[in-house]
Amino acid sequence: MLTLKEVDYRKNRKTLLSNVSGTIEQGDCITLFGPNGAGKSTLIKIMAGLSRPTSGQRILEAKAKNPIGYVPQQIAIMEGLIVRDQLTYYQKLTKQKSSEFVDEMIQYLGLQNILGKRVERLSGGMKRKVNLAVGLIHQPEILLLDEAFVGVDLAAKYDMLAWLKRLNSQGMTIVFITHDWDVVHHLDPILWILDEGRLLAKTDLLSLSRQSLTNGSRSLQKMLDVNLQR
Amino acid sequence: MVIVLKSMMKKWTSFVMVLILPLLLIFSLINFFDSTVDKVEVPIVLVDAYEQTITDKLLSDMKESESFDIIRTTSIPKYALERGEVEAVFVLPNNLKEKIKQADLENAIQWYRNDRSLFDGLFKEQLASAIMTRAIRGEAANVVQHYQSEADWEEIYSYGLKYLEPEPIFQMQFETIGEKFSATAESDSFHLFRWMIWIYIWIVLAYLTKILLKWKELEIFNRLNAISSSMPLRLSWLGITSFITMGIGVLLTICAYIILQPVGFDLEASVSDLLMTLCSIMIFFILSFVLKKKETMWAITFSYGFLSSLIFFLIQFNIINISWWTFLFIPSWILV
Repeated sequence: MLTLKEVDYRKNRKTLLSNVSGTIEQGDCITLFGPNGAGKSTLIKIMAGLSRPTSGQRILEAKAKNPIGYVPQQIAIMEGLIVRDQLTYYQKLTKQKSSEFVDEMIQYLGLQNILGKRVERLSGGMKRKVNLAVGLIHQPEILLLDEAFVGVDLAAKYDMLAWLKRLNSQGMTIVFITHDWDVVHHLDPILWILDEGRLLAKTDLLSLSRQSLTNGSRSLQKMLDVNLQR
Repeated sequence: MVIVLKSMMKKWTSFVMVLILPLLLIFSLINFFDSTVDKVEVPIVLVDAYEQTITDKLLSDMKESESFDIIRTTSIPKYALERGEVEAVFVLPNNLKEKIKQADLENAIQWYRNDRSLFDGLFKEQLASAIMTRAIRGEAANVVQHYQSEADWEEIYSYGLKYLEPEPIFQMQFETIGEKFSATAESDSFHLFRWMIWIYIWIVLAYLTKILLKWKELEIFNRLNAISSSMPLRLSWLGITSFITMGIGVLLTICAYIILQPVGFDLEASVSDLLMTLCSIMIFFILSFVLKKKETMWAITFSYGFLSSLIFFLIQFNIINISWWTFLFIPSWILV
């Protein structure tokens, strides 16, 4: 579905990604895991088609016209609008006709009571939910989430995770970045472990061990130590 | 587009300011373009204790001057003069008409002023001019009657002036050497007004572009680019911005037409003003692709605005001539 072939990315003479290859199939759930500056956000932007690799290839094979849903790290929503207008705008823009899906998403994410509220007046967690809903509004084949769970309380996080899990089980491909180990455990993804722009390993949670990543940086080792002890 | 407009109007107070500011601008312009000289009327008291008819005639001779508020009394208002409520007091003598007839005007008029009087000298000159005109006519009638005793003195006095009045021998013309346009006070005011409209629109555009950069900062364009394209949102912004700025431009132009018509407003110029607005919009639209930070946008807005205004005034005051490079600064188009 989405293939990366020996992707390199350089900016201002600095190598941010080096020789990253991998294939993502329909229904996969993948997390890009690694310390800050590992190149996760850059890689997800390349997957979304927002950045072009300096060398290498990104090949996307999809059926739909708009196969990608991108939820950026920022809360990328227009603050002056009420939630309903926000969703309507993206619905119209992406020509999403299935209001059934939208209604279901609103229910699942618990947005029904805030549809008439202006986004700027919502709590951080609610804004994150709306941010996710906007990225999902056109039922993308691949959903790319860049730290979409930051600042979300437990209840809101589990609403979001339950919805994502359901979509994943229905065949939606999900690629996400998070530092939240709860999210990783809940979605049980394949971990693409990135460190200093290199893709060190692709593994699942059960197979993940500190010993298998001895070539990682000190930051990565520490991250793994902390998370595996949980 | 309605949804995008709603989003842009997040801070409705700012938007109200955007709409109110042109009205303030117009209001200030009304005061600005009204001749300040006409507004200031210097109070002068003319004392004629004997209420002579010649005083009326002198006043009617001087009525063209609207700069003075002439108060006619029969006694000297000493306290008003001391307090500076009147600029000066001129006291006319008894039998003024006879004195004019006989050209006996030495020390005829008493002139009182205070230490703050500034403009009364002008009035003195006007009054002297009015009296001297009549004295010359009287003297002319005296001379004619001396040689032709049967001639009617009053008739000669009434019509004599037209024979004695000199023809104008100077004609004032202004010409700018090297350029084929002439500058007049009216066109200067008009150019200044158009410059002010441009400055206002330039600032409004910066305000609206700030919204565009905010969307960029929030990665809204990235999100849209991942779906299909961010162009629909950008084009909506372009449409709304054009509508708002053109609307303001047209509103100001109509107001200007009403206010400035007497000083030579040219409706055709408003077409070029629309072109200037369009180019300004396009500059900001292109900048929105290139710039990442609002601070950079404001820096460019103020430096270009300042530099353009400087070039405009340098050309306006003939310090530099219009050249190809001056066209890089939009306000200079006003002077073409």
